[in-house]
This record gives sequence, structure tokens and C-alpha cells, in this order.
Amino acid sequence: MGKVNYSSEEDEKLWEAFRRGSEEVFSKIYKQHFPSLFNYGIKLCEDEDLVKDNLQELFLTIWKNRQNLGDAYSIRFYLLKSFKRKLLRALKNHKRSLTNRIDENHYNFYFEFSVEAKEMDLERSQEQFLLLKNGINTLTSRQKEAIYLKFYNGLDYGEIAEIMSINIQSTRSLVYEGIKGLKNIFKKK
Amino acid sequence: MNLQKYKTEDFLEDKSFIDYVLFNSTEEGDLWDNFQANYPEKIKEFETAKSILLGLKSKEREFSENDLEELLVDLKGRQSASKSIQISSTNQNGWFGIQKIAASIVFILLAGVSYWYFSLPVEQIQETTIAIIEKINPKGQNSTIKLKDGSVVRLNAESILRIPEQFKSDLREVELIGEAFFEVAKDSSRPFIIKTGNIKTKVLGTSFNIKSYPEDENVKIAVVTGKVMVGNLDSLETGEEVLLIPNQMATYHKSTRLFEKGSFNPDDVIAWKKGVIYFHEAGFEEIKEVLERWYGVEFRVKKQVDFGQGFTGRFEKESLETVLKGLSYAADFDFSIEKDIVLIK
Repeated sequence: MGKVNYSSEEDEKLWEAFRRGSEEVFSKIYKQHFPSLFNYGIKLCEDEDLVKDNLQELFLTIWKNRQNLGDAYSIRFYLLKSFKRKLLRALKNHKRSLTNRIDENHYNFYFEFSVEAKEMDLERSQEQFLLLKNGINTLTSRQKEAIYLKFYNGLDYGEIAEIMSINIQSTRSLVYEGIKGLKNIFKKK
Repeated sequence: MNLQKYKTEDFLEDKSFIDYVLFNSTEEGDLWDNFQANYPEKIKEFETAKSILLGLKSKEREFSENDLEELLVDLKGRQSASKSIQISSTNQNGWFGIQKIAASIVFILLAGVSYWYFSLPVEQIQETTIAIIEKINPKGQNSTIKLKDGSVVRLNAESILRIPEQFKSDLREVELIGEAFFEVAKDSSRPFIIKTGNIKTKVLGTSFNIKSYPEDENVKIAVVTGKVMVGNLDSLETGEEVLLIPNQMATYHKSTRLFEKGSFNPDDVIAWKKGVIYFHEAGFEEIKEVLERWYGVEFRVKKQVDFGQGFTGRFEKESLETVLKGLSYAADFDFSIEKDIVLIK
């Protein structure tokens, strides 16, 4: 898992070199972003093969069209956005699709609570741990997605808004409301 | 950045802090490692933000340098192989290896199930000649029903199960109003079908829970073991079906006529079997209905109760009063109980 911070300057240089046809830079971009794109994709559809295939196709496509691509001040954002659009379209056409209605406003975001009690601060009571677990599992799909994009991919609110096809204000409140609920759990003590 | 003024939210906006907690980043690690000593007055906010982030820790798949090299090789292979990219079935070593094989086996099984599902005749002609037995549970009572094929149905309160006196030779069909937990006996020559309103659930041997009270906004089908196919009769032609495997739950929204697939905690969804009331993001209306059903009471609401984002919690073999006390804590209301009437004020 990579870090969240990437300087846009570095991104611009990499993107430029990639567009000029550097295979080495392509590999670098690929290795840097494949894991997080894959992990994001898995939360949208849980089908590893489908995610992998679409991700490989995406990278093939950008490699083939590298000369026609626009500027990218954030490669991660550019890739996440393209990948989501592609994956949702694939899901929609997927014959084995389990739920039928899938478009930019209808899809699930699978994000399970995975932390163990022992990883948490030992001073926290078991009760708070359970409340937190419960609280996280009760976040809505949209809240989970916004929070995930923020914390795991370091996107800013404008970028998240664009990826989720909602406005910035809604994005802020998705994150804010989600966190507020969790914060309250720790207030009581 | 003034750490003295940091609130919990500010920590959660700080990328360096996020990196530190989620990715064990060492940049500025010292700052955060020594935070407690340097800013003792901010410990509470710091710890809360940290707990929230840790709580949000996701099971991320890790890719080693080697994995990524193999993926790149795979990518280059695709580039030269053909223009149209097929879903790969050749590359079975490396990458996801065994998981890939497992996934395809599952798919074949699923494909079989879905073919069989749609090749079934929708209507059975002799139906009218078979007597139907009705099992009815009033409020506050649940029961266990053994069917002739060996299947067992645990029927919840205020629910009705309609069973033919004799199952057909090629089909076991029952009708449910309300909620029940099914343990279906395996019989591959006779699929088991549960009709709930305009939803049909088809199974081989399996156990799962269906919640479909007429007044509920949605129908919930939760699978514990085996596989289940759920379809909407209205939209059979559009192929609106959902396949469920263990620990998955389909929620059918009556208003939009759409299925949503998600996961569930088996202990919670089928809690009622063990005398546990479980609420998940429940609004007051839902809570009211559940309690009326469970305790055989009626609510009179004088003051509207708002649970905000919904109430989540469980009550195990508790009295109605204890449950209401717990709830009044969460949503700030007063209540009194007189015989069968609960007054909310």
C-alpha cells in the first residue's frame, strides 16, 4: 500500500515522459497505481478477475493512446476516474452481473470493518470498539466511498466529487456526517 | 498548521497524520510519535482521530514487486496477443493462482443454477387441486414447522406460511407472509421455492432468512448456507435476478422495484431465532413495528421520535421496558406502558 501524498509536480513530469513513450515511466506509473486501483475496484464489484481484466485493459488503452491524452496534474485521480467509469460500464454489461441496475448512481461499495481490537489503543474499552465497529458498518455506501477515496487515495473534495458525480458540498457532508457519527462514540466516555 | 488548535477533524484532514496512522509512514513519524508528550492537552482529539482511522482500516490487498512484474508481463502479453481482450483463463499460475481456479468453479455452479432457474415453468396447472395448509402466528409468538420433505421452517411472529398438503413431484413451493428462517432439505430434483408477494426465492439445500412483512418497505433475503436465486416476478423478462451465496443478503425495495446486494452478519439477521432483537440503521417506524410484533403491543405516538441516521443495536431476551429505556437514551423520548399499549411522549 502506497502513501497518500504525491506531489503534482512529480506527477506532471512522469506523465509528460510517459506521453513521449517511455516504457520505463509507464512501468513506474503502473506499479505505483495498480494496487490502489485494484483495491478500489474490488470495493465496487468484489470480482477479482473482472477488476484485474478491466484494469489491464485500462492500462493498455492509455498506453496505446498516450499521445492523445490530456494533461494530468494528478495521475492517481485521472486513473481512478477513468477506471471507475470503465468498471461500472463493464459491470453493467457483465452477463453474470448479480444486481442488474448499475450506473453511476446505483452500485454498492463494499467496505468491511477489518481492524482487530488488539490493534486499537488498549485504553479504549471493548464497548467503544464494538460501537466503532457498528458505526462503521452502518455508514452508507456513499459515505464509505467518499471516506475511502479521501483517506486511502488522498483525493481532495473536488476530486472525490468528480469521481462520485456529486457536488463538492455533498461530498464534504458525506465525509463530515460519516465522521461525526464515529466521533460521537468517543465523546460519551 | 497549528497543532495546538487541532480538533479531531483537523487531524483527519492532515495527510501526514493519515499516512502515519494508516500506512506507518515514517516521514514526520517523530512528530506524531512524540505528540502525546509535546501536546498533552490534545491527547483526546489525537486518540479519537487515530481510533477512527484505525477503525476505517480496510483489508487492502498487497502487491509485492514480484506480483507487479508478473502483472506487467501479463499486460504485455495481452498487448501482443490480440486486439479484443478476452477474460483471461490461461494464465493460471502466478497472480491469483488458486483463487482464480476457485472462482471459475463457482461460476460454473452458478451458471448451472441460473439456467435451471429460468427453465422452470412459471405456472403449474394442477395447482388448484391441491389443498393448502396455513400456519399462522399471531403477534408475540413464533413456531417451528417441519415439512414433509424434511425441511424445517422457523416462523416468526405475525407471519403466515402456506404449504400444499402434498408437494408436487418436481417442485416444492410454499408461500410466506412475514418472516421465517428456512433450512431446506436437499433435493436437486425438486427445487424449493418461496413466494413472498411478487418475489420468488429458489433454492437447493440451504438455510436462509426471509423478511417480508407487507408493511415493510423492503423484502430481505439473507443466506446462511448454500446458494439462493431471487427474482422479481414482474420483471422476469428483464432478468432482474440476484444470486446469493452465504453471508450475502438481497434487499428488494418495493418502491423502486430494485434489488440491492450486500453482506450481513448472520448472528444479527437471524437473531430473532435466539430471542435477540437486532436493529441495523433502523428508523422509528421500523423499530415500532418490530416491537409491536415481538411483544404483542400497540404504540400510541404523541411525540415524533427521530433516530437521525438510524438506530443500531441488539437486545437479548430483554423486557419491553428495558428495550424502550435503551431506545429512549438514543433518541430522547419518554414512554409509559399500560397493558398492551405503549405511549410515546
